[in-house]
Amino acid sequence: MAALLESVLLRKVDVDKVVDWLKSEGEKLSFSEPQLAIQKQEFVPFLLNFLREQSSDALTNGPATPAKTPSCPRPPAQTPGFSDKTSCRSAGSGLGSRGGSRVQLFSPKSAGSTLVSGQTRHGGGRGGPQSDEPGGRRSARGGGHGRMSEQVSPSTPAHLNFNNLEDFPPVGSCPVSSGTSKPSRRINPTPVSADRPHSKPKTCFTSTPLQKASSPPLGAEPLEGLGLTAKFLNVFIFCYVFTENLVPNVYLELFFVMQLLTSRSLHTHNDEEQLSLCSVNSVHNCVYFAVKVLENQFQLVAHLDKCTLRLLAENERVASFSPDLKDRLSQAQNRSTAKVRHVLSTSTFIHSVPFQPATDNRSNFGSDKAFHPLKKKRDIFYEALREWEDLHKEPGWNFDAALGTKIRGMMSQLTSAGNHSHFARLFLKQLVQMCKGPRTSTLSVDTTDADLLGMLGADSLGRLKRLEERLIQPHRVVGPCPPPSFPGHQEFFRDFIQTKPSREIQEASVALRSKVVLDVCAVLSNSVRRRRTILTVPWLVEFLSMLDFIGPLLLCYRVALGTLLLLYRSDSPQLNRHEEMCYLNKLLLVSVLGWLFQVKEFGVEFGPEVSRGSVTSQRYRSGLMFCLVSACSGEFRKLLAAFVSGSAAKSGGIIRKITPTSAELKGTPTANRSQQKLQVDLEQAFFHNQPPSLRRTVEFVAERVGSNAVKHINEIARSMLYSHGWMNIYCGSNGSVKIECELLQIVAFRVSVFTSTFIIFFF
Amino acid sequence: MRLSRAEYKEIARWTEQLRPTRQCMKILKDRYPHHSQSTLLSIFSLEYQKRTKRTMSRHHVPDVMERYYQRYLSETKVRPTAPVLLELANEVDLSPALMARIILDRFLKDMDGGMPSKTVLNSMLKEPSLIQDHILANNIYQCTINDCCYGPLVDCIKHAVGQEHEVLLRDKLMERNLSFLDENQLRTMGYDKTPDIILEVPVAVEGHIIHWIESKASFGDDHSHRTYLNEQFWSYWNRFGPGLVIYWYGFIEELDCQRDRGLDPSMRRPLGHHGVDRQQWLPLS
Repeated sequence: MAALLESVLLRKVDVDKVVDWLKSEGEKLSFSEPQLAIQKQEFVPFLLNFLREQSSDALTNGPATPAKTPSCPRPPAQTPGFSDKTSCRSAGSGLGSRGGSRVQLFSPKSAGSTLVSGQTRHGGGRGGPQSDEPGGRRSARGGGHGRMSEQVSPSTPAHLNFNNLEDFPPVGSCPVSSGTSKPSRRINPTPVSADRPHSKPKTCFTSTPLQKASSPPLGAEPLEGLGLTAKFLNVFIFCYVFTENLVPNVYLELFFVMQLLTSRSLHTHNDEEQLSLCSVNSVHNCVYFAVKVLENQFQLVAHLDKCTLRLLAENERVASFSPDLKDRLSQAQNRSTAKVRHVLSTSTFIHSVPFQPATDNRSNFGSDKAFHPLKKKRDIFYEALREWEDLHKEPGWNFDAALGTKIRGMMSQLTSAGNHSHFARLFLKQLVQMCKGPRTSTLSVDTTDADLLGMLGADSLGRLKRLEERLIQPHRVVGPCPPPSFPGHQEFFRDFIQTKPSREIQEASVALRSKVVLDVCAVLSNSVRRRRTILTVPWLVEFLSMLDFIGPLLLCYRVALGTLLLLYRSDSPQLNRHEEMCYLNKLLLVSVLGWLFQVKEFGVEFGPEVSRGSVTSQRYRSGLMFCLVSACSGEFRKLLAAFVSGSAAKSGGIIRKITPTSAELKGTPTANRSQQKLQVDLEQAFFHNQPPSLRRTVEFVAERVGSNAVKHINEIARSMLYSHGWMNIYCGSNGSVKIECELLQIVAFRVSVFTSTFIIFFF
Repeated sequence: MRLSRAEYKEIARWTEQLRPTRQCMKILKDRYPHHSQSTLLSIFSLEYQKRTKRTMSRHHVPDVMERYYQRYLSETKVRPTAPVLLELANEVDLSPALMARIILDRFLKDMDGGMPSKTVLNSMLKEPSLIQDHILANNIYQCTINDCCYGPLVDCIKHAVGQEHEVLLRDKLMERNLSFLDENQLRTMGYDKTPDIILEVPVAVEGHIIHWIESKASFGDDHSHRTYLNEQFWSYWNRFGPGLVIYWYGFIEELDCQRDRGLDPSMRRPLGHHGVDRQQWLPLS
């Protein structure tokens, strides 16, 4: 594996050959060194891990992007050690694993022959401990991969990384030939200026106008004199892997690329040599790599949301490395219709489930002994809910520690079955009331919104919401793969159920488990048959991401997950690039499925076969689809914005530019508007404490009476206007004013009579 | 009457030196002429109850009680018509009504030899003429009528005042044509928790929507409010949604606000033409 990559980088193996191999159906690639037969499934994860390791030093921005490749690309017959390594790496990859966790990546034998000075330089270049470590120990730590490398070449380890002058020589310097001629341990500061002493005659290998770029903070200079360099090959392969959907999660890779783009050198000590080495060489390489990938993957990038595109276009590095890309980004920004879904914290106001005498009073219970305990339950339940609301976000707060005893005590007092059913009904009603809410819908407004809407009007409300989002959203970059979570109050209800309640409840939930509440299999296969997966899969993914650890073991979910896995592996955005919408649909599927398999370890096997091409025929607007994967977009923006503010690594904060929204009112005066709002609230409050049937009845009657009233008024008005028209003709203009007033009064009177009839009817 | 917490604390501190007697109440009223008598009495009563809870254990020791009884006996021998028991209570800083209970309890033990039943004790405290010893009956009567915090008389007054304010509240609601269910109706309907009033159609008080009203003929201090919250208000809230508490004798304006859902004492506009004084309303939203 390592040898293959190395061979490619050293141009021993033609890169086209590798790409052909990746394209082909064949699984194995044999090349010059006959003992190496490489599994395709192994190569991609290896490449991704390799890239992360090599760049880990420069990535100061944001969290680690796990390079883990989930179970899907894993071949049935694995090289024993490699998968171990992959998983072990994924656990500690990224920033945290910098330095010490490195394992040898290239066969030391070949390194010995070609990268002589590379071995001696690592210690200095990284300032790190690697060179001091004994090779044996490192192999052991590297797990299976170490063993694999040992097979290949048992001599001393060497590293190929972005920081290495030989692997990735400084801009303008001579790459491979320097290998044997510079045994010195000392690292020469690499000058940023163009006129370098040992720079060779230059030939630029790329068509992008890199030469024109100035060299402000980062010395964005062309890679001159290298021809097809190792870097370029890396980009090439990475992009290929990217477009062919061989990566486990498109967004993860995109996030990684952006991390590279915004990378900074960590070495800010007095050691000038190190500083120059890192800032010019390593960071330069990272940014170069990122810009190249962004250029290559422009179709994908162009579908990001407006704000991300703007941040990218305004990124100074993009501008200096590829002005062309900057222009394209600016253009794409104007075309972008993608929107980021705003997930706001839910309103803190609880509406309790109203006490209904018909179902809750004493007559519904056999005895006082049954009646009174439930009274307490209700109070304890709400007390727990309030406590959870107040405290669950405090650091160190633990549901079970804080409320466990209270809840268990309460549940143990529920003695009779009747009591259980009463409490269960209360619990369920409260759950539905709090969790179904309008908040999940993007169209309707929630209660707090309605309040603000009353005060500010729709325009200002939108701005205020964005402001709120910017203020309350955690601005820490959390990574492109947010873990699945139960949003808002759902978390309370989940924790409540999991608080190991009484035996009866547990037994009941076991019984429930055996019944399938939602037949996900049927839903999924139905949507595949009707070619509507684009509608079904996103919510199904959200649903499945919330499964507990037993869920995936049940047959129904197993089959569904298998089908999804198959969909995921059969769906490649590349296939239909010419069809824009279809491309977006598939991208959506790949993104959400990639996320699911990234965040969850299901360990599923294949389910039933799904015929390729049955995936989706629906066409949807790109805006809709990107709403769903916007969690990633949000992270992109944070990352890029953090880079702009320059404080990313230190404070983790983003400078937030906030334009104040004035609370000026448009149209109706304040008093009037708040009065209207209060009326609506009162109506809501009235119906809230009444049985739901009352509301339906009232709505029905109101609608009927209203429509009759309109009909009636219409008739009166028409006949009046008719006669008024005649009067007008006869009386002339002076008289008409008076008559008009009278007519209006009559109409008004009729309307008021109607309204009062209407009111009498009700009360 | 809304008081700031600082203001309340100042009054509370000042009442520490007072005894629950009519004279002391007069002193208190003269000291704070701007506050209503009911408010001051209510505050004193709350603080005196706290003080009694703190010090009661000191008096409830068998030796001490025996000493009080012996002193009572010896002094009544010398001065049979003097208010011996009342003087003794004031001297040892104990509520006269509580002193009366201790002495009567001891007296009945002497008479019957066993523990007197609570019912008998209570009925004798309520009606001292039932006590055979006329001197003791007189002394207990004096204690009861001279105690403004404890005793059957005070309980009776408090109960009556509470009733009166509930009636007042119902009248005001009817005056405004509001449809409501009162506590008694709710109880017959089998409600498990019963506020004084449930509004059948919710109304808004100064922008707060309320579903129920609880009337408290007392001053709302932190301690009593917290107790009411736990024992009553949250229960109402859990069943009927936001509501309103009336502390007829005022409350501390900084009372626990509990964010959106708790008490919100920030009222800026007067309630209406002939409503209850806005100083007494406390919406629980």
